[in-house]
Amino acid sequence: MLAVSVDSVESHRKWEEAELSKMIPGGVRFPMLSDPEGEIGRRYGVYDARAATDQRGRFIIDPEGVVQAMEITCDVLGRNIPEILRQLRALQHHRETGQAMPCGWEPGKPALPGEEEGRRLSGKVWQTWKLRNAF
Amino acid sequence: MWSLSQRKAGHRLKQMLQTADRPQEDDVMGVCVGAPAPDFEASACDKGSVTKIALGDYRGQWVVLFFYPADFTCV
Repeated sequence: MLAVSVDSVESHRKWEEAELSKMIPGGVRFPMLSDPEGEIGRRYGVYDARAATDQRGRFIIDPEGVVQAMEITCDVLGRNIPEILRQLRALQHHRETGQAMPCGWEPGKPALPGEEEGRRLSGKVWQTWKLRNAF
Repeated sequence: MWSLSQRKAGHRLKQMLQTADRPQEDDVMGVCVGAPAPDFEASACDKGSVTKIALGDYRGQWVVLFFYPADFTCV
């Protein structure tokens, strides 16, 4: 986990000490990066030059350094941590099994074949996968 | 026929509309799913210590990289 904002390292340290350590048992256990000029934010397309801040974007990057999932939300809409974990588990499951994870997949729910076998399901998914699995 | 002051006001308005709320071209690079994540290196606070972090340090691991607008905010 890597957190980034335009605030200084000292500001991160103060925030962690004053508030985050009281909210999170054991305090924050991952690095909080400082991006004062928004350079990292620009590279990821999340720097808001008007507000001089990085927007609430998050990116899941695989072990080869490739972006596999991303989401950006406005200031008033916080993230959903279980959703991030669900996506990470789905990506790891795909890597282990080659399967594709349909809408609403969670560990224990049915997945679909990936690659060529999956393409043969085109038009026939309804025979295998039910809408209730999305919820 | 527009007066000089009307033409000036119109020109100012046009300039404002062209630059308002839109990131400048050279500011936005962005990423694509399926493309390499842009490299970076930055100073960081890690469990109370100041350190340098580079994305490349995490090659071989899954990374969740998340940005947020500001410290000491509520959401």
